[in-house]
Amino acid sequence: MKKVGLFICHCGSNIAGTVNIEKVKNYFLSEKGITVSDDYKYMCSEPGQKKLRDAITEKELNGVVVACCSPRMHEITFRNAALAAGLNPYQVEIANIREQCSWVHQKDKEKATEKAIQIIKTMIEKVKRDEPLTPIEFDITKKALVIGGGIAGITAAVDIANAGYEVILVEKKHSIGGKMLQLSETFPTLDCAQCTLTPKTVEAGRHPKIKLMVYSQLEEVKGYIGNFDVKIRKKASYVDWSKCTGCGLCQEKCPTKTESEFDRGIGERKAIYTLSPQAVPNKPIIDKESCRFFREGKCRVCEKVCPVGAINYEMKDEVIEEKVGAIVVATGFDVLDVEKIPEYGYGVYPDVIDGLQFERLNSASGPTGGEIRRPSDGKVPKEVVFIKCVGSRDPEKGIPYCSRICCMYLGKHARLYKHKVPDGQAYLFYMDIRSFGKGYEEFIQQSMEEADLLYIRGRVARIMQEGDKLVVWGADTLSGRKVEIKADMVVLATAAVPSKGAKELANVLRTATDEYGFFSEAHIKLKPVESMTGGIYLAGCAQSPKDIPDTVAQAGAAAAKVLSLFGQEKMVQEPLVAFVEEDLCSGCGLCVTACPFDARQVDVDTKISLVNEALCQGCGACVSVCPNKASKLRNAKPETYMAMLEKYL
Amino acid sequence: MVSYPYFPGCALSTKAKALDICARESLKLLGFELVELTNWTCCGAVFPLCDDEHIRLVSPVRALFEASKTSDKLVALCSACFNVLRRTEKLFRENKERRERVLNYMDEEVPKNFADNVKVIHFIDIIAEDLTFTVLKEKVKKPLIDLKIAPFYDCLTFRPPKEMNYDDPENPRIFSNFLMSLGATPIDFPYRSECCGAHLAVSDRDASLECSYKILKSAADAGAEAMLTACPLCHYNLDSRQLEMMEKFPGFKPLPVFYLTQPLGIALGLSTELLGFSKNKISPLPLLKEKGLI
Repeated sequence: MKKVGLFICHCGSNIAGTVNIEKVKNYFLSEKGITVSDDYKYMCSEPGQKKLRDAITEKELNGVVVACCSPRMHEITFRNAALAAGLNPYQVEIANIREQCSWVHQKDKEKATEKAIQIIKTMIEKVKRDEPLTPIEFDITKKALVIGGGIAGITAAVDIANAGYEVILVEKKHSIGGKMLQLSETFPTLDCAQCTLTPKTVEAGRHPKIKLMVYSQLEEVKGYIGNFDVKIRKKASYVDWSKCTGCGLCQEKCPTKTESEFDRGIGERKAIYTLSPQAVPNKPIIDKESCRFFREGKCRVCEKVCPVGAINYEMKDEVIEEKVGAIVVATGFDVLDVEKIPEYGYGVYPDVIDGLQFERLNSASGPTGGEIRRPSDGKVPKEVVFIKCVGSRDPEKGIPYCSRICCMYLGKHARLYKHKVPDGQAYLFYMDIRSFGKGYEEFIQQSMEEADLLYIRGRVARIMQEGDKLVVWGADTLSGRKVEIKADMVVLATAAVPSKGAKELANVLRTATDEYGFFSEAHIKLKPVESMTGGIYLAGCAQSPKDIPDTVAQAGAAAAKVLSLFGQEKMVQEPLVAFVEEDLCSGCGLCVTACPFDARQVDVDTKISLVNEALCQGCGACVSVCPNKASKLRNAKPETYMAMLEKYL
Repeated sequence: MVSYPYFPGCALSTKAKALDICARESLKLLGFELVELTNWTCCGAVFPLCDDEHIRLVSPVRALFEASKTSDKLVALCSACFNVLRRTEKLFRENKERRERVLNYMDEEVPKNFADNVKVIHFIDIIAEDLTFTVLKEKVKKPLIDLKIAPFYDCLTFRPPKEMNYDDPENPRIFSNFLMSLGATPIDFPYRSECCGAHLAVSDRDASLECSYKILKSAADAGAEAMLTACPLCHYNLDSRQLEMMEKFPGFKPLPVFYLTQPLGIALGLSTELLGFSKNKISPLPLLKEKGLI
């Protein structure tokens, strides 16, 4: 016989303001099988929890119902309190009389009180049937997979590796460094991005615990937190990197030139190429699309000049299988597509460029050697217009969010431009200036006052080419006037959008993305680095646009989450999973197809369906399809629910 | 001869008669007939933007109903009429509640269940889709060789893009393709889809004049010898006010502005009377004579 204790929470006035607590309490005092019926202003507080613990010890309760808020909120709180008092936590249930009662029935206190009693009665029926359960334990593969080799991925990988765990760092491109490597200087200190980043890329490249897999993509993920089986496709580079010394002769002699993606189309590269001279690893690939041999069947110049015979046109993709315990997603961002901004002529007028292109123009290792020369004719532009929020904060373009980096980097661009072209004029159109980070506001103020930048509050309506000038039509909303500037070059702070392929990757990982395609965090405030799937963590712009300091901080946090997982002896999981009444199971396999988590399979020999308890999430899909009612959920058997329903009705 | 119900609108019956006559006469030569709706009233001129402005949709709906009796298409030519009719058609298709509300005002003349499957099309669609530009090219008697015309893309035909769903408002091509099939050289110019000043011609004449001047100058700088517009209001701003521009902007050289259908009429060999150049403030006749086209 169960000795059940009931504890009713007032939740301040959230519940007590609508539900007559006294009446509810007294009702259950006279109910059979209820040993304790008590109430408190805030059950979740320490005095409230103490009430519960004391009652369990003193009255030897073996079942507890807490009538309070949603179980999502405090089920774990009260289960832990019960555990502390020696009661199996799975014999504690929540009767939700806040979200499902007091909040929605504020106008009818009497009926709300009646409903609260009904809800509690139902949960008492459940507690009476609850069995003590033990959490499921399983081993953890203490090896991490980091997807994306930008500053976020590198930071997370190095942090995890420094703690002594193995890391596989997968990067889509053929060297690591990501977008940050394309930048010239970084705000708010104006130190060179190369100088801050390259030591980290080298560290990641040389770390004995980091296995670098560049030019590779995640193809398949199976398993669960602590035990993922992953397949990674290593694309054919057509260069045997074990032989290649990175001498660069092939790049020098290759006769085919094409647009350089690294220089955002402003510079050129060869068909066999490394992303940059400082690339890690400093090994080239052959781009099949532009290579003359692959297109026309003739050439083979690189093969002839390679002193070590590393060129291999026959190379094929390889698929590598690995086991990992945790995954960090650090896939970064891309900038908005050209065709979304027709009114600014981006992609039509050569001198309308985006922020990343300006970074390449300004970079000492860029196509102009760091001189500010406009793409169309190589002239030094004397009038440059910088435009913020291009696409961002614009619901019409489907991007209502703020890209968070543009206010700062455009200020930086304008200032760097003025350093190099002191007699030039920089105009900055802004909606407002969001300089929220450490040292940011000071940076912007200094730019305005000392660097003589002209900030104009307003939007640009349109840009048109007239002769060799770009006519910029805008508004100055402070003076209420129309502004027309004949500019030599225009720099657009185009919106940061999820990196290409993020949605597909989310599908492979079986985790969620938000409406824009950024990876969703488990809780925006309390779990900002956890994804919606256990064991998968987020770092950097993959989650949402952010600057380098925030990216590095989040990558560190993601690494810490991985380490706290790896620090445990065993993985522990809730035991509220499916089980099979073997006498009833006919081995039909309907549960196998119904299970969304690949947790079910039919034993070949016994023809009885099995449950992989580590994979099972307790959703109940198998329970509803099972024709023999052999599949059941622990502490949620159909009989239990029938009893609860009967009580309710 | 294929015939279409046709909504001419007020401007085409008065100031912009040339636009109307050239359209009807040219189409006849191409084997199409525009049949004027018997019962048309004002299109409403401006599409009502308030959700509860039902009464102003009565007139365009009347036109849709008239057209539905004989066809599944209704042809408009004036940009304002095209804009109002096309948006009404879309609203009726997509918003059953508003449809019901508007029809409540019209129960004596329009049955609730009338077949509102009428598509509002632009005059140029007959040529672009039903005839095709390739066939038009074959039918041209006097190709407009050497004539550099800058097509101006008015707002009402193309915007708002989600409702009008007509060509690409940021990079429209339709008039250029049309001119090319007539043998002319279309001139793309930066201001080709800027605002002509529109109704500011009433309230702030200076501001509107500056808008139109910039458009004309941009076209002339790009090498245009004439301009083309489908909109009667644009035509007023761009053509009729050039005399004022000559006074206000020294060095301004006047540029003839054709109605959309006039170059078609010339190329198909319509008589000079039918071309209606007397309505053009800046006469295109000297230019056409120079090119040997009349």
